[in-house]
Amino acid sequence: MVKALSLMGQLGYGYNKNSFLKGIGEGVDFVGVDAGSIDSGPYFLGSGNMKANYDATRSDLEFPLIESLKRGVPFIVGSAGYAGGDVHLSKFMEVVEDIVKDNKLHLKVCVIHSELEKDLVLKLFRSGKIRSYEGNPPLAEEDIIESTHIVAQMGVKKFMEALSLGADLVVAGRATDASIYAAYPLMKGCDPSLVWHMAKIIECGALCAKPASPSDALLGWIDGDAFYLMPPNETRRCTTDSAMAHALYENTNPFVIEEPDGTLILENARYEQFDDRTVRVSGAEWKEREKPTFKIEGAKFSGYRTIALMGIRNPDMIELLDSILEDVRDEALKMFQTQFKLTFRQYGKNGVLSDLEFDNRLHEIGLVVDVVAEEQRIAHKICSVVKSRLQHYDYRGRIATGANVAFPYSPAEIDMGEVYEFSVYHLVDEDLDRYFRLEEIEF
Amino acid sequence: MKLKEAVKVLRSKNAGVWHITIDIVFKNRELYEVAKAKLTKELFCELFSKEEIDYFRCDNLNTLKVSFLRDKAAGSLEDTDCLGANFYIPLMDIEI
Repeated sequence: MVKALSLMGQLGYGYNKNSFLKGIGEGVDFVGVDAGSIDSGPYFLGSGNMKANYDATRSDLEFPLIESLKRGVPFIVGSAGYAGGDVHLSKFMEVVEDIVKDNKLHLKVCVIHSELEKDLVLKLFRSGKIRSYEGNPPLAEEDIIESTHIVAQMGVKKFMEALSLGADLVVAGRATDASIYAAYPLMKGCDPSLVWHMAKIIECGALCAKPASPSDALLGWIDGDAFYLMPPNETRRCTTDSAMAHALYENTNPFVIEEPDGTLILENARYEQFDDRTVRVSGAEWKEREKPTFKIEGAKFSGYRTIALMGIRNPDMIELLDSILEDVRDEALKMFQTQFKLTFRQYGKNGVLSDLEFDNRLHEIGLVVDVVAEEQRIAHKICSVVKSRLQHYDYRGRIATGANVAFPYSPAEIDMGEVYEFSVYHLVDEDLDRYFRLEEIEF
Repeated sequence: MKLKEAVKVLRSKNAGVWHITIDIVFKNRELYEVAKAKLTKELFCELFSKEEIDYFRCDNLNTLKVSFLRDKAAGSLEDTDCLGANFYIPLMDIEI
């Protein structure tokens, strides 16, 4: 039997200490935690900043790591520092080093890098080894060149190497969520179908339980021809429904999950209620790929953003707002010869659904003037001018000549700093494992 | 009956940078079967202005699932919903 404890669905969200202690007390073989994603947008990969900052990362890592070391249980982190680039790994390792120093710990850490050199990505691109991901726009050479960081989602191989080297702590760069949890049981010879299916569910922590939470722990163990799921927190349960429904989450296809080394097919998966809080699962199939396929992610710098927030309440102005905004945009384009992007966001009208909006009820609009330009001071200047044009715009039938808009803040302009956009989200048909560097550090 | 009255869960979410996926989990088998007969792939294409979508009928979960490419990558300059968490809204009041 192999038993895994998933600390939580996302490191940095605040874990449940009692659940962790109860879970690790069950005699687990390893503890895992996913620390990253692309869900919060391109900023983190592009800028090199962690999403969970030093304090948030440290408070979720310190106690569970110390307790795992005491028991000789390997602790495995995937997608460290959120985006999992080299710079994220160094920032994450600063936290680890402080924890080690302050608690006088002795341990072996394996750090696995999955950031790719641009030259390598260009070479792969030119040899036709990079393709679209499920129909997204094809990659262009400039997308690669403009990227500040490009990472690959590593599969399970380097995790296994780190564990076989005797790592007490594995700190992996960008990785598939399931690989964090698949490495150990695969090394122990468990059935890959069970391993991958369990890994795919427990990576989200107690999100597959009822009530669901990504900030709580989940136990998963493989025994014989099935695996079992149970939340250590007694106020939660795993049910056949909650476990099954989890296959839908964030996955475009509910029956098929792709990993670098193979495909997990869930069509014949069976879920049974084992006891009140435990589900027994079996029946999924794993098909190993002949050659691995990796997903790569890149982000590029797009400029600096300044925004201004203002409220519009006058019904006559709201009626004419689209044409007013068009007019102000035209004027700005004429006035400023520099490259910039001006976006008006009309909250209360279509700020959320954009072209899909169907409801025309309206009495107030929260307008965001959003300017991105190549320098912060240019974005600020353009935003400021557009804001004042709207403030004093003399629209047809205007009777209130004070100001057209309500500003909640002084100053109205807010500098937002650097802006990034995703530039790469594609598949590579090449064995990238040999490019992932494994660093051994003894403390 | 409106779709929102027939479901336990009606949610949308980004699946990676370029895709939106919508899960429609019905309260029971009966409501699922009614909706399954009524909600066609064409209807979803029209609602989301898409020429192509993936449509899954998950009988074991009483769930319909729709996935499609978004017009702009998550978090791009004009994107309004990075997590894609509001794409279910046009479905709430559909009559089933």
